[in-house]
Amino acid sequence: MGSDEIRARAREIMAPYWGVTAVIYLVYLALYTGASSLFYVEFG
Amino acid sequence: MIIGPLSLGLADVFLRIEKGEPVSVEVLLSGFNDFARSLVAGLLISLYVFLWSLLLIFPGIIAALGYSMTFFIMKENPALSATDAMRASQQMMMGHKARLFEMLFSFIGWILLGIISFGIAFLWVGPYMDAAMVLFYRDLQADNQTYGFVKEAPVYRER
Repeated sequence: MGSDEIRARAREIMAPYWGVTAVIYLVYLALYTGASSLFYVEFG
Repeated sequence: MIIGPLSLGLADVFLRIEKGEPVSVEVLLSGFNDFARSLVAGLLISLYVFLWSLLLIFPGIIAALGYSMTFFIMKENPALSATDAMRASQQMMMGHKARLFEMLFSFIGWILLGIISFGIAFLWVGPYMDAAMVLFYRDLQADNQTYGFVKEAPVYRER
């Protein structure tokens, strides 16, 4: 599969999931930035 | 410390999406159930990418591309150690790094949109890129069936 085909298929499989994955990504980014901040406060 | 478990959980989320299964925040946190293995993978990948980046930026990018399939492999092969999964990822990506780089580079417009929207668009651009990554992983599996410990690709389904 080429890049265009993969991107098109990605949009297709993501169609029912945009809402839930945005929430999941928000949690992911919150946990990641929270943990990174703690690390820098402790060891930075 | 938590980048490994979170990456494993995120890999699980997108592997499930590719199969059309339901996902939730609990799936993202499922990486913590395999804490030791995902922690080792996360730390080793960060360390190796950092060390390769010291040579110049490009070796670091090449190393990151080489290890990019590690968490998908780990999720589908729970018996595999972190280092074996990293090795499998390197083998799997051999001869395909330029193709993955090209695919990720094709998201440059979306990434710029994410930046100018102060990161808000990344809530959709990030999943879009991860969905493309899991499809790239499936494409590699279909292309290359030589690794006994990497599961065979499922039959391509039309929905």
